[in-house]
Amino acid sequence: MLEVENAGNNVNAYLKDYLKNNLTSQFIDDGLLVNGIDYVNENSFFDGVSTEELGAKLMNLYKINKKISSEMMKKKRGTIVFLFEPQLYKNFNSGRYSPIYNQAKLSFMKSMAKEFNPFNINVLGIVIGVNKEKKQIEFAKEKKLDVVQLKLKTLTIEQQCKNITMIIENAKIFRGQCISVESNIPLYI
Amino acid sequence: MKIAIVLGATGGIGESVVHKLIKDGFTVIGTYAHSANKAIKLKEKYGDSFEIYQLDVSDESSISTFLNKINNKEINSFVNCSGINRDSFLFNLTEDNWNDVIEINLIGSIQINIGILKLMIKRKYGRIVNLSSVSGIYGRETQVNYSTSKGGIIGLTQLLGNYVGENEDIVCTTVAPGMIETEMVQGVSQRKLDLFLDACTAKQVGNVEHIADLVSFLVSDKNSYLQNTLINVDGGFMKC
Repeated sequence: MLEVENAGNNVNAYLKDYLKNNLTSQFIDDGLLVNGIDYVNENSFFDGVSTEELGAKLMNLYKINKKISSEMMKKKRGTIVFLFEPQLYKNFNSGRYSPIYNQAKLSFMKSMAKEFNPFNINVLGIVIGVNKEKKQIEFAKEKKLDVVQLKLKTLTIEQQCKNITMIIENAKIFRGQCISVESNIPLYI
Repeated sequence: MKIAIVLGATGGIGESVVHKLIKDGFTVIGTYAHSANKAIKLKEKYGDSFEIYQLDVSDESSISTFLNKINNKEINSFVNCSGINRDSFLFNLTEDNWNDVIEINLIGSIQINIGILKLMIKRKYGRIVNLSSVSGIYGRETQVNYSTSKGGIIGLTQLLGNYVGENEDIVCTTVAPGMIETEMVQGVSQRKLDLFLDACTAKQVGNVEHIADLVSFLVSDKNSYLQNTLINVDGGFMKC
């Protein structure tokens, strides 16, 4: 079983295909749930936009993880991954600045990791890197990422998926952790 | 006259914060959800230095009514001590128990925080302190709902801090209490409590004054640079 939540998003959809073709079949047989990258335009709350979408996304997070983890508990194996996007976008794309949702999701992941360790279920977080996409490259070129690491390299989606696959294949040793696929970009800067 | 709003004023930490801020010279506007008797007692105790309103943070109209009541007041400080827990393992956690905790601890807090921040922006001054929890930082078994809501509170402070302009003297911080001697902690099993104390440098449960003393500093003029900061008050939990 391989589930990638929010596969409408480009990165999540690409990752789903990549995992299908490249991940050791054992992981898919055991069960793999990837809670993909997602966001809520939280700056819009200041313009009077309702918080309903945030509540609905958190409810969905609870429902899907409860359902799939219950199945994994019966088999006493499986892997649940949470993908995070660094909150770098406040400066050039406010629609993706989502600190509440991301931080809530991170805490959810950490609690789940503690609960599911006795059932031999791997729960971990992965922070994706800066993509080789126009706006993000421009952002890196403006040297705004020098605060993270000098001359930070951007990665293609394929390179990122390769790194994500590698982390998932070693999920057992990363239980409860949040790993970055490239330089250690904090979730928030 | 300095005015502070304390959400959840009848809770263990909330009451202590009210007491400390009144001592510091604030007039405090407190809110409570259900404990009307406690609210009356607090009003009798503090008299003119204290006003209290009922506020159901899971109800948008109740939030709007409250924000309208304080709309013309010059709010200096806001402290959010509200919160509930409904602990359960995820496989047993009901939709209602998920929703109640998220709505009260997080969604309602977002609406109140944004409403109050806008009032502060008009005056170009304010201090906001949101109470999170170590459960929001490290996660905890049987607390996926509580932990998620308190993690969201950490993100909320980031969002508020990012919205504040450079020329506005507004400081937003998050405080994450560990095991503090309150009613909420009285429901914690002895085994869990022992585990906590074992992993805690101070080897003792904290008290409400530890939180109130820190909040007193964070809402004062002395605090001008602890912007967007998360402070743990947990006796050195996981640091020994």
